[in-house]
Amino acid sequence: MLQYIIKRLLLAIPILVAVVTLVFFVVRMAPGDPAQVMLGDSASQESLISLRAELGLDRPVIVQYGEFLLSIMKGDLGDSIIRKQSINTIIADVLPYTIELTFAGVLLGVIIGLPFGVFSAVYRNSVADYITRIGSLIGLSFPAFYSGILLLLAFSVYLGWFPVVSDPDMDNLGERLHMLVLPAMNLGLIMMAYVVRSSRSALLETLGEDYIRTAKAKGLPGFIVLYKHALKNALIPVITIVGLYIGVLVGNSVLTEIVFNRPGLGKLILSALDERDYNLLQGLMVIYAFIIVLVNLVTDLTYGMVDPRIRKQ
Amino acid sequence: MNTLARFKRFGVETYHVFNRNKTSWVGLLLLTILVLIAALAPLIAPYDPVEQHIVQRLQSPSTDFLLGTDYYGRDVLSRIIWGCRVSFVIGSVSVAVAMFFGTILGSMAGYKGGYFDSFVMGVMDVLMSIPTLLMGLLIVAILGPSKANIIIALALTMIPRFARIARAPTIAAKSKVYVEACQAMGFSDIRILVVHIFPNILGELMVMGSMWMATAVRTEAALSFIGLGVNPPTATLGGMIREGFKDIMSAPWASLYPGLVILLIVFAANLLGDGLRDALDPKLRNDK
Repeated sequence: MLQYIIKRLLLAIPILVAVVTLVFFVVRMAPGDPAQVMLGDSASQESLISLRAELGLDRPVIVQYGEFLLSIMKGDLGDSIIRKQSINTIIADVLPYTIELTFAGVLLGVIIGLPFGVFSAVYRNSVADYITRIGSLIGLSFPAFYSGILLLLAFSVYLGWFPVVSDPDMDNLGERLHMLVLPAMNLGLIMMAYVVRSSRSALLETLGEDYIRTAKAKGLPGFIVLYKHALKNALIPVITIVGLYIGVLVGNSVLTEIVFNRPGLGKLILSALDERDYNLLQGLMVIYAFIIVLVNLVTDLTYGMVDPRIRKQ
Repeated sequence: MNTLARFKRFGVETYHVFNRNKTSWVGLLLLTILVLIAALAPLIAPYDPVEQHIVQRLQSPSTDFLLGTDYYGRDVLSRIIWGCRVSFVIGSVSVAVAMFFGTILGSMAGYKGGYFDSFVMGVMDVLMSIPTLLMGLLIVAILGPSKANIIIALALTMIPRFARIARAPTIAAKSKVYVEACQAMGFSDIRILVVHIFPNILGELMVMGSMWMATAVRTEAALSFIGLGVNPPTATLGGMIREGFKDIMSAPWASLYPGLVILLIVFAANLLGDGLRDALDPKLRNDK
């Protein structure tokens, strides 16, 4: 197992370096002079030169790249020139909001999705199974910004149960939870669709195994076969769902934050784009890459721990 | 078997695949209708999608404007019809590009093996660890919002998925006796790949193609919604939601109808892919 962990860790490093490299060079491909873009067309020659020096743009790209890698290894994402602030601080300020939202969304998705998936698999090809499957297909077809707008219209505007702008005071727990409900629901409903589908197909696969037939042949009651024998094994692939759909999850959290006007990494991306703050954009992409690689690593390791076949390898 | 017979057999097989699963027919039908609407946009759109009827701003749906008008007095229905075009062009071209390069890279990697394989699949792993929307954001924000840039961004994240599909069966087929026989007869690598390996993965490519088409359309809409879509005043479905969102209280039709159409396109493509996958899955095939 230790060997497996080390191997997985070593595999994650080159991917991270490569993603960071890709982000760095794509950002450098921006047309025009970043200093000019930041200061506008009316900037004087002196201020352009001094900003270029401040940004390190007067040095060769390869030197800039080396320094960028080095500072990232030290955990420093650099400074936002527009906001005159360390990018680390800017991101750390809003990160809890995004983490809270994502956790709540995934939790909601799994809690509601799993029973539906099990139900759908057990009553396979029934009308209820059919409706669940079509429903989950509609769910995962929903663009997160559209479902967000519909939720906002229904629950905030017409029913007035929730505020239209979710910018909670983090110290006020009641307000925090109240403002989390709708965005988390938006993320959770789409996540639920993925959970329903993967738990259904995983359970269907296990239900077809020989040991299930054996358990049934022994005369065990149906629900014991289902919960003790089938579901336990079917849950293993479901654990990887977060890792598998982390891309969808990240994309949807960005859109959810924008629609609900909720602080977080996604909202930050939008302002980085508006302000043409390429340093901040670059920092955000690096953070996202870290989060994704980390989540993949954790799901792989959990999978390894739960599944004896991988553990023993 | 000559090429014509091969194609005929493929057509018959595809038909049977569709018949095994009715939902794929529904998906195909829906998608065909939507594609037709997009293709015939100049003929069926009642108004010019960028023509502004300033005195008739934010009109609710009526016989003159079936789905109402937006903030600039443009006909929502006409803009939706033209917007479908952008969605389909970007969706299908990006999938086609990704399928082309992905299949070539994946099957070459599987066929050649060794360092080439490790290198190609390593690059694929990197590309796959960036979510489609973020890749779109990054590339379009830096290189500018044009159809080509959006297609490049979408294709980049989709290439690895197709490479993976193509690689595994290539490795499996490489050690088969008939492939060795082909090599012994001196057939070129390309011919072996195209004639003997490609047909085996065609089914899965179709499934993935339609599923990723759904993702591509949804992502393009999301980019337009964020403000990184094809430049206005070109009508895009996501862009219409972005513009209509401001007047959602007084004129919900300007943003809700385009959203419904995005949902419909994505759903149809997913339905088609899902049905095809069930029909092609040997495990699910026999027990219905």
